[in-house]
Amino acid sequence: MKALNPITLVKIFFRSFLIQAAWNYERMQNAGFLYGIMPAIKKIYPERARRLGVIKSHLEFFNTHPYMIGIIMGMTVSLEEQAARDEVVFTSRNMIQVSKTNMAGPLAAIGDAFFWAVWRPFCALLAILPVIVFFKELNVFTIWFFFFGFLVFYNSLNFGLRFYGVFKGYSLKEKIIRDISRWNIQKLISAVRITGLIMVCVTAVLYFTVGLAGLRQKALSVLIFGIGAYLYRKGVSSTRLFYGFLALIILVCLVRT
Amino acid sequence: MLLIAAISSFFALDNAIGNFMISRPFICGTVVGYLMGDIKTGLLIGVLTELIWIDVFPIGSYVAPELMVSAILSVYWSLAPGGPMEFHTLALAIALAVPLSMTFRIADVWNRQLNSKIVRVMENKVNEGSEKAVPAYLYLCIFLFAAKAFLFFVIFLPLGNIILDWAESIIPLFIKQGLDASLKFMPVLGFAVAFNFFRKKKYESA
Repeated sequence: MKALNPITLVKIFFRSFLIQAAWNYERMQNAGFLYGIMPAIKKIYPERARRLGVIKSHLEFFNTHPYMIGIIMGMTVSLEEQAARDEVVFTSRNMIQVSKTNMAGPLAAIGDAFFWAVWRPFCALLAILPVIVFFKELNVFTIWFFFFGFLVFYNSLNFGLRFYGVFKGYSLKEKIIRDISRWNIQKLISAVRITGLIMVCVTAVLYFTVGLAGLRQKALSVLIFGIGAYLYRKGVSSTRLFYGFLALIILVCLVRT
Repeated sequence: MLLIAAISSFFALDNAIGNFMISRPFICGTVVGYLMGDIKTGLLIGVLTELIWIDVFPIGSYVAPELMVSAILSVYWSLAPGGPMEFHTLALAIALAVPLSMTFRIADVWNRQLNSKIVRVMENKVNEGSEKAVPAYLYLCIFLFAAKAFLFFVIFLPLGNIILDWAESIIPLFIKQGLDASLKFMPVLGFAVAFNFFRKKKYESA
């Protein structure tokens, strides 16, 4: 049987951006997933009656990290292609469902731990820390440079992973998990996190020496940093810290006058 | 104002389409600042919001502030009155915007509960044999997602201005002085949060 052509895979890649479009509490990304693989399903199952059954089966619960979706979509259409040739319809349908859910969990965990917990804050730091230190010197050009720099740098992985996923998932099927296990995510997370930590420290020191004037300001800053860091470690949320901080500053100003 | 609301609902769509992170506070803040004629103030508010709330995940089932909303509202409120920008207006705007960004999150929860119903209708249509129902109802979800954001901004962009105007007139001078001074130290608070955030080993043992 003829394999899906790259154009269909590219279509899936573009449709994969809508994975969260109908995100709901009941079945999460089910509709987004189905929408994504529709072009392939139409090609694989030309007979309408059989296709409807397949479409229904993909409306079951499904959830993973949005950037990882390419991998599972690629794998699923590849398995569907295999299933379309199979005689034992029930077993192959079950197998597809199991493969989908088996992949979704670990990939969601990797995605949350890497993209949400370190990559997003790290890319944001890259853009905002220089802005804070050099705020007075910024002009329109440099502002847009940081603006688009962040978007391009951050999204290189978003686009890259979806594209890689659709094609590699299609060609390797479940074996793609071997590819992924070679990425060494744990080390990558540590490396990004520690780089982020160093950047924060350097910027904080720069701001302390250049941005603040006079002993009084510096003393107050040390106080705010100390209290803030302590309370944050105790589990106080950023929002509460912020209001507490405003109250503290107002109080300090009141005492001085 | 309608333009800002429209652009904001476009940013809000980021959570439904692609997760390109155009809904980050410093991205939205800069654009709204640019549209209001003061890109630097927009950038400043966006960057401070980004840094102090750097630990907030873009998705999650608990109600966390939707910082995009906080940044857009506070930039708009700071710049809408016109005239020279005063620091205490800016601090006050952020302080007022953060609770509203939580309100937005609640609206988001309702929206996603509604999505459950829409997807159930979609499934019924598929059972009846309609394949076109899949894209059709998916696009409906996207439309409602944007419409919700648009409605939210159309209400709260002007409303916040009225509240801030009123607040300006009753707040005593010492509080204004305090808020004026607070701006200088907001990055320090942000450093404290970011420092702790990156210091913690979160997922590396897993």
